[in-house]
Amino acid sequence: MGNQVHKTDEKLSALEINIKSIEPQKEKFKTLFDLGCCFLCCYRIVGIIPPFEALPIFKDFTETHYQQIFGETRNSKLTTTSNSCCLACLNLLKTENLEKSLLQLIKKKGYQNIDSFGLSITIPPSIILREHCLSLYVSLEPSNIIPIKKILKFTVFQKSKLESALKVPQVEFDQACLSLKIGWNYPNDSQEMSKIETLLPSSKLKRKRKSFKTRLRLQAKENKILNQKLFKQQLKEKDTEKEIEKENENKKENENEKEKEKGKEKEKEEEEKEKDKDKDKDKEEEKEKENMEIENEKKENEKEKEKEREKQIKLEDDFLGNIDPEKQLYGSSCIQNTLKGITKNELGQLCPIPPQPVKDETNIIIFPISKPIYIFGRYLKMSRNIPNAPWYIKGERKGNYSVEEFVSKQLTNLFSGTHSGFVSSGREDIDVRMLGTGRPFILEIIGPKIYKKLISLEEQKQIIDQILQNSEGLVTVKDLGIVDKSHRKKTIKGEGKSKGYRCVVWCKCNFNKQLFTQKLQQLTKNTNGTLLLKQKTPVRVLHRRNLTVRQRAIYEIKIVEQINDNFVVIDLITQGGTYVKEFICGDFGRTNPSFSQIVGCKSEIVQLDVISVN
Amino acid sequence: MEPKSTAERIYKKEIYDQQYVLIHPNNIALIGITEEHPIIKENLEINSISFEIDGINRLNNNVKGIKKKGGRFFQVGDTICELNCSNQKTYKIISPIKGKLIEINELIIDKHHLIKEDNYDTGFISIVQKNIENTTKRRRKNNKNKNQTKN
Repeated sequence: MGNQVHKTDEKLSALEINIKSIEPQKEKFKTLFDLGCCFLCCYRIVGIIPPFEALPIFKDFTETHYQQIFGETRNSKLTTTSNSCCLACLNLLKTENLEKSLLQLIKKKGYQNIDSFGLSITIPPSIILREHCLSLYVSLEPSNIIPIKKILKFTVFQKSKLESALKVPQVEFDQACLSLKIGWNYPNDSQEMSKIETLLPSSKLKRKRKSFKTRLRLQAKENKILNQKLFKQQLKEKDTEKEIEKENENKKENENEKEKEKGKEKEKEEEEKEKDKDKDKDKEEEKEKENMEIENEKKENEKEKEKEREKQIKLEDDFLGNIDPEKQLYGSSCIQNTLKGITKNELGQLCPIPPQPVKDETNIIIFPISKPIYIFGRYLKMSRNIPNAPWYIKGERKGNYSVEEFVSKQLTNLFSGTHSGFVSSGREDIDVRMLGTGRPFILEIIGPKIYKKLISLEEQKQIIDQILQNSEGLVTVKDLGIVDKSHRKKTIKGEGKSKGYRCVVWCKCNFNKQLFTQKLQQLTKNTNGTLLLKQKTPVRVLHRRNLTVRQRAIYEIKIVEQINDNFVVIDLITQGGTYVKEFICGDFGRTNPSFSQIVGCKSEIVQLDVISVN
Repeated sequence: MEPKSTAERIYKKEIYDQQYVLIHPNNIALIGITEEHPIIKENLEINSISFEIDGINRLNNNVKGIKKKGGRFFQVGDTICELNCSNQKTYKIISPIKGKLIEINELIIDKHHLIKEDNYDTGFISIVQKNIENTTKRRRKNNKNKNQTKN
């Protein structure tokens, strides 16, 4: 009894608050409420800010409340049916259990260790039309309408509620770890907006305009794809069931045939005596067949009903996380501005005033997007047969392996992402090895589900062992770490610095160390030891580069070892961007000065290795 | 044991009547003269080279961009240049393939002896981008013309 007294006290106080706030526009409030709008929408269209503290108690609205507020009994003709929804907001403001569905999503997809989340909400544009028409119907100014997003913030998407449910702070959409796109699926949206979209200015389109037919077709496609996924599962079940049924039917058919044959034989043998009995048998068999068919039909009907029920449950589940809510064609402010310039009579020809009631068919759509992770590292390549990236010639793949695939597969599996992008500072040819310090790269993992701040030493060892195993000891990785987005530009621009090479060179004439060093010193008197080059684009690259002259520098040439009279091993430190193979062989005389010019006879490069990338 | 030079390893050699064409797999070709040309056989000296033929100077060939726009187009049999030799004969150098002229060797303009001495390496004459045959664009054009003539 005591609790009931408290409740009635609370209700009276809430009622009194509402009655006070409605007073300035009581009649218009009543007409809107009788038409079929929900309580909050009536507040919205009239232009009064609703008292949020007193509202959530009004779930069970009975006729006594109606009498107390308005002082009259409700007109029975204008009561709303259970299937219809609010005319103005299409039951958006009545969504419940949002936290449950969010937690369900996070569990279903498998997100872990999330730092923050963010929301972005898109509203079907037919709501703006309906608000406008209702306010004109009641002869109020449509500029006084309170937009629906403000009210959604306080009722459905309350910050404190969501933060306590997900246990993580809410942040802006672009900076959040897990960002959620929320929309609503209103199937009659394009129909209602089709006539007014012709009046909107095409310069403010947010995405490409599609005709009504294509939109229907695309919606049907999306539904097909959804249903295909469901149907595939069901087809597997159906196939097994069909096989079982076929086997049973075949068995029964065989049995029936055998019985028929037996019956026919018996007829032939005993025509006169047992005709009636055979006919009875046939009739019995027919009856059995009919019964079987009826039973099969019943079973099929039951199965279909069960499947439909499962479909509905699964569709609601599939709206969580599988569909991307469509972007609007036009922004809400653009629609409002054009609707201002249209009078009531003109609007009345385009769309019905007041708007028509609709079934409660809108579903909420949630689509998650997770922030990408950037990983820094250095890779080494110990073979002369593996390209950097997968190589395609005229649509066909050449070779089976690539450095990018070895490195990216293991790391995406660690964070369970969908796919990744690989960027390195510079590249090398197929027949050139990468040793020493290694070449820096950045891997961008898209759609990760497990978030971490550090890669521990044990995990690094595991990754390195797995990569070595997969590539048979030819590709490794070093110095892994997690990094910000700003490091991506730095690694790409780092090509202009110095690089170190080691190569094996063959000369036609006998190689003399002293003569070589003397000539080098003559050429580099004025420039303090660096050789200045002028290179035209080499012939092997001319089909995809401009024809220009490039000025490059070589900082150091060292002779490591002389194997033979003709074979020499050389160390080079050059500026980034020099073509080393063309420096040594001369490239038909288009690089000056070249190694062969300094030595005095033809020279060719036999092997090349990259030692350091700075 | 000598390793092969890059010209022998990668480029394909085709000989057209005392001239050679070295083609790279990316369809860029070098043109020059072989050892059976009378300049090398009879050991003649080259006095001058003239690049101006029919009023157009081949040295004014400016090429822009990756697609090499602005290059002069050669059909089979067009002359590239003329060599004036010491025995008062002029030898024409013909382009044996269809293609677009990219560049003429700058070392030849001053040092004429390179054509004789180093005819495969630094004594080449010009670089030409070869036309690709049987691309999808050409197939569609040819089919269009065929259908029009039929109709």
